[in-house]
Amino acid sequence: MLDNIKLGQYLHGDSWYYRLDPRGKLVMSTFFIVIIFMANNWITYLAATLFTLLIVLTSGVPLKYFYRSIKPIVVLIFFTFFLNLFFYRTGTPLPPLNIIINKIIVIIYGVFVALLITFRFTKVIDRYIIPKIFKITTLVFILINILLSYGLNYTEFSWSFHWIIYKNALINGGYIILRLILIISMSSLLTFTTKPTDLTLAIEHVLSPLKIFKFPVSELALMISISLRFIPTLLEETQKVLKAQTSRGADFTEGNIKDKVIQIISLLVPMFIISFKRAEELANAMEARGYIPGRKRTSLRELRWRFTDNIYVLSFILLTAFFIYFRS
Amino acid sequence: MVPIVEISELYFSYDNKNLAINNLNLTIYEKEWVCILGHNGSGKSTLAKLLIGLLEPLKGAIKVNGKILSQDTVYDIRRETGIVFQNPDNQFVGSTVADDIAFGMENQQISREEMKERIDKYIRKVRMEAYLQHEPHLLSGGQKQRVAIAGALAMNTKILIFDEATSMLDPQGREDINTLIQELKNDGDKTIISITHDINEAMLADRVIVMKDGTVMTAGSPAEILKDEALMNDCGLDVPLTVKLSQELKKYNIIDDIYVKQEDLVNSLWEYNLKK
Repeated sequence: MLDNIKLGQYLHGDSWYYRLDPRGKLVMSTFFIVIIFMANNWITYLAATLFTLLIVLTSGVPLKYFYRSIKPIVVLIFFTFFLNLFFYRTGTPLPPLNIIINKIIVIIYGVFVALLITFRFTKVIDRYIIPKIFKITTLVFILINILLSYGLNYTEFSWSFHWIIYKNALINGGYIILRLILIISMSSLLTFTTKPTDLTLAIEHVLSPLKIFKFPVSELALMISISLRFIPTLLEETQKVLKAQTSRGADFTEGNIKDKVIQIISLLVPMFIISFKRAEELANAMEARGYIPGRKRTSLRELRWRFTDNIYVLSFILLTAFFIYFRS
Repeated sequence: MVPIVEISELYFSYDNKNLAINNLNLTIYEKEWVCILGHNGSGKSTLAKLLIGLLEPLKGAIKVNGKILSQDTVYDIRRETGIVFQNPDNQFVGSTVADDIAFGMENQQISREEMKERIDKYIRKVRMEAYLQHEPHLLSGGQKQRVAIAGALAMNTKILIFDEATSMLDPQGREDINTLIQELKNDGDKTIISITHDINEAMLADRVIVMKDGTVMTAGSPAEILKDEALMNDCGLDVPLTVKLSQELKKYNIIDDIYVKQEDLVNSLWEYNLKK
């Protein structure tokens, strides 16, 4: 079971992007988030999209992984899009999409309720899914109705009114979706292609100017790397405690929230004690091996800045220049 | 014989009531393999922590390689003492095998080239060269302990302490580590202090020191100590299987001595066979 624990999101592979210096990757991924906000018309967005696509497609990471990292925030993306659609009220209005839309929603909702009732009695589907669907559809229905009624002309029926969408709202909403997808793709690419240890090292290097202000950068980096190293160990330990408590009659799956909280405490308390004990032993081992916090250390791992790293950085600078020139 | 660790009139207490170390006097000589044997709570692990300055004694002096252990010398002494602890997981600092071996060297500010050389050398010594880039959760307990040994060796210390390094391992892992310690002894450039309650490990050492209630009860060669059943039982330890077997055989007059080493017992049985 522990063999498939992945530290971070790193995917084994090799390509020009894997071989880039993690410092460059880290800084440029952050820089990309900043400059993407400079894009504000179709030509700049086209450039940003092509740029990202070029990197993503040549990086050697299968596209399904990007899809997987975008999936969890699809709801957020659409929510932002719809909000934008309702509240962005400048430019030319599109013809009103009236009664029909609302009728469609009512029909869909009716079908859901019908399905719900049917499945409740027949218990075909897992009993947890039905209330979930019910909650979500109700929420969507209420939300859309409230939003639709926002400053609109009522007709004689309370559930049918005019809905005016502005052209700019549509375009802007599209840009927002695109922007979020591009940012997530670039950030995921960084974590997909960089080992957590290299990333930690890069953070240490990037933050090193803070040493002037006596900020413990190396200690922070060591802390991150030790935390990462202990995740699988602690997961393994959690499994053991879970089994031990289950064998003593604890049930982590049944019961109401109060019961569950009590059961979780029976897991958390031993885990805390174990972690503290581990931490102390680890501190002893580190001290015995000559670790002195704040003392200068050498490093086995080295980061090499190659020629391709220069080109990588240069491409971002060119993109920025393009943005500055073509943005409206 | 040159003494390398000298402990005189050492006292230590965790709670200021019960003495964990009670008037302990001990001298360990250069390049010998000393096994400190004792039951749980006899103070043997406390002694290890005192030796590397993780704990501060109430009274008494520890002299390592001619230096008296104090606030000022503790870091120098740690440079001369490598230690392998009991729990394989809780001493693995690096995120890969190579990183972990390098950890101690990084602390000593050794250059990268030198580090790589030493990692290469000692990873072979502990026969873990196939696992250089492996992450710790993919290794077994015995493999992690071997990495810990490589890490201690890489620091080029004069003294190597094994603080119950085999007690959490399976029989195979235990045997691997014991073989490795024996190899290190045969190389002959390290003083090895192994702290254990494993009789089989003690049998291999040059000298056995038996601890009870925080002090040295007796010391001597494994052959002398381990066949003394009264003494061993008094310390809450069991005698080795070979000793038990020879006691039984002696009852039937098959052999006429008690043997600690398996080899000796086998030889005398051969002789009995010839005499018959």
